[in-house]
Amino acid sequence: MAMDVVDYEIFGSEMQYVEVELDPGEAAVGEAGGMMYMQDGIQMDTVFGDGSQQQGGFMGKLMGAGKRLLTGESLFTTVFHNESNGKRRVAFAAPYPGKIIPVHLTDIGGTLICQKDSFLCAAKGVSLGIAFQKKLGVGLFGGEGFIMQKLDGDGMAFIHAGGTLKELVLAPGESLRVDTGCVVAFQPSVDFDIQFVGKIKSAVFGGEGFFYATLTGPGKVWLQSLPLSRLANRIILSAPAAGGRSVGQGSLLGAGVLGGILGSDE
Amino acid sequence: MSDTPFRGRLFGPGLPGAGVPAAGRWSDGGSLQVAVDGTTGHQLQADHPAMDAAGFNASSLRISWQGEDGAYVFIIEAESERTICSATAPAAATLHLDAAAGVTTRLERRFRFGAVLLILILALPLLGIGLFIGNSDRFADWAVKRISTEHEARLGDLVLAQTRLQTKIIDRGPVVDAISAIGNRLTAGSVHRYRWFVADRPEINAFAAPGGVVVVNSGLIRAAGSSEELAGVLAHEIAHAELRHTLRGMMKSLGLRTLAALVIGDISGSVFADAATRLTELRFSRDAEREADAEGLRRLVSARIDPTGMISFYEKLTAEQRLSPPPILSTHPASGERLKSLRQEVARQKGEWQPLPVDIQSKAQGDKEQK
Repeated sequence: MAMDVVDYEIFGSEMQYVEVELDPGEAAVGEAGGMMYMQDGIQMDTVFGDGSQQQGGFMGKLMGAGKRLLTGESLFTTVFHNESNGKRRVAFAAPYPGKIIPVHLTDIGGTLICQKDSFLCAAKGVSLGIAFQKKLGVGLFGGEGFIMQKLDGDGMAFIHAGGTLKELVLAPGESLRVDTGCVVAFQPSVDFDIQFVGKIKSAVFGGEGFFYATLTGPGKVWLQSLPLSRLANRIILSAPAAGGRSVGQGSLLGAGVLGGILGSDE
Repeated sequence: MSDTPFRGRLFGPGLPGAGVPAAGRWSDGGSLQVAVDGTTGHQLQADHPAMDAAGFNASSLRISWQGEDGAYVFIIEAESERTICSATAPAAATLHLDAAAGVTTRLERRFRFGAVLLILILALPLLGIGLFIGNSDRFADWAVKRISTEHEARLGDLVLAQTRLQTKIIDRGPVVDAISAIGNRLTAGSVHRYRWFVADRPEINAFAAPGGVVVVNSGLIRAAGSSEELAGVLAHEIAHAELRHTLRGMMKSLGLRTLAALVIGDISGSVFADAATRLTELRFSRDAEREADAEGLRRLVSARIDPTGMISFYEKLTAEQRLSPPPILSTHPASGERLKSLRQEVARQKGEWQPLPVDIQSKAQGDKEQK
């Protein structure tokens, strides 16, 4: 499958967007609603499914669209096609604080397994599929659920996740224990499993839950420091409407009982 | 041994972290040789590599060995390449390869089993409702058998007390006496102690609560042309009580509501659920009406009361119900079809009928004048 080669530039530090440069005739696919701006000469076309198999027939398109619905994304993807004679740019913005990471699918063997909902945009021709997590224990307690997303192709893909993103290389046999929910993406050669924290005391009071996710090499993995749900949880907890207090920086004591009594800035 | 190579990805010291595409082949000596794509001289040899299932979903074959400068791993992901690998492997490696393939298959099988189980669990409440609707008669029979006559009578008292709150109930008087005279002939030998009441309401209606409480609307008495017609209606209502239709309906509705609450959650808040359960309740009573017609007719015949009164009264009702709601939504089956079968039944009955001693119309008239 001939992929379109795209040049890109990522702007911003904590709330990023990626600007993709399209040569004449090139195209990129983006998550519906992810486009930020585009230059003259770029045609936007919304397609049913993921746009990778235009000749797939109606049933093929329907299957592709159904898969997208399962991974929590919109039924449609938008294809941005450069119809002009020069280079044109289109930008896609991340929907919440975090980092955008570019992944060259060829470098990792053509397949990337990632968190559902983490896809931002890609060169046209990259197919977006689902990968079922078939280890029942991992699906239940691994923090990523049973449905993951699979990006196939040999072009560029951009994925996005919350907080700071870290790319790690695991040597053969090297293992890493990760808090559940922090795994963003990995090469299919990486073993993704779960491990009991070991002690009941740690499980109950350790704050990490009952299981770690374990990633065993070889291969590349991408981790996020702040899953969106965790951020959302903290925001709701500290929202005044939900019983939170509008205090500045402080220790537990400062923000808690003592802070409430001694705090003079309210 | 064959020379066919199988493609995979090689990871190891000095190689990119994401691995490099490589081709492996089994040598004649039984060792594995791996050549990285694009290089001619760089060839690795593993004499006794370990083999197991690894990677995402354990769907890849991992061949690992300790090289001179560190650990190497050759990962074969594609199904077709794995097949080539197994087909060309030396006898010593086959056992390990089969074990690895077994791990992958077991995981797949367990996942399918889990998925089927999950779907079943989700479908279970719906299945329960389906089973219940299919077997609701059997359930109602079972439940009704466990209710004693005393309990039924107490239930009848409750219904009567409830009705008293809403309408004026006439306990005694010439009309009530006339009704009990007819009714007692129809209920001879019953386990229930029958009590007869007249409700001061203009609608043409009558009902039999469980435990032998029969309430007849004054509107019905006025509409009835003769004592035989009234006897026909009474026989029908008594049949409902004797066949414990109300109790059965209550049991069914109770069971259905419990199940619906399990599936939909809080049933009181859901209009849809309420309408759904009510429609099914109506279906119960439609079947029951037919049954009550047959039983009522049997009671009339054995009491030697002319059953043609039943038919002529239904004909009157049909004439009045021109603007009735559609049959499926009404508690009573379309009178037309019911009449047809009833007429056939009555035509089959032969015998000498004893005329009823009371003239219901004059009594009702007298009752009205008293007021």
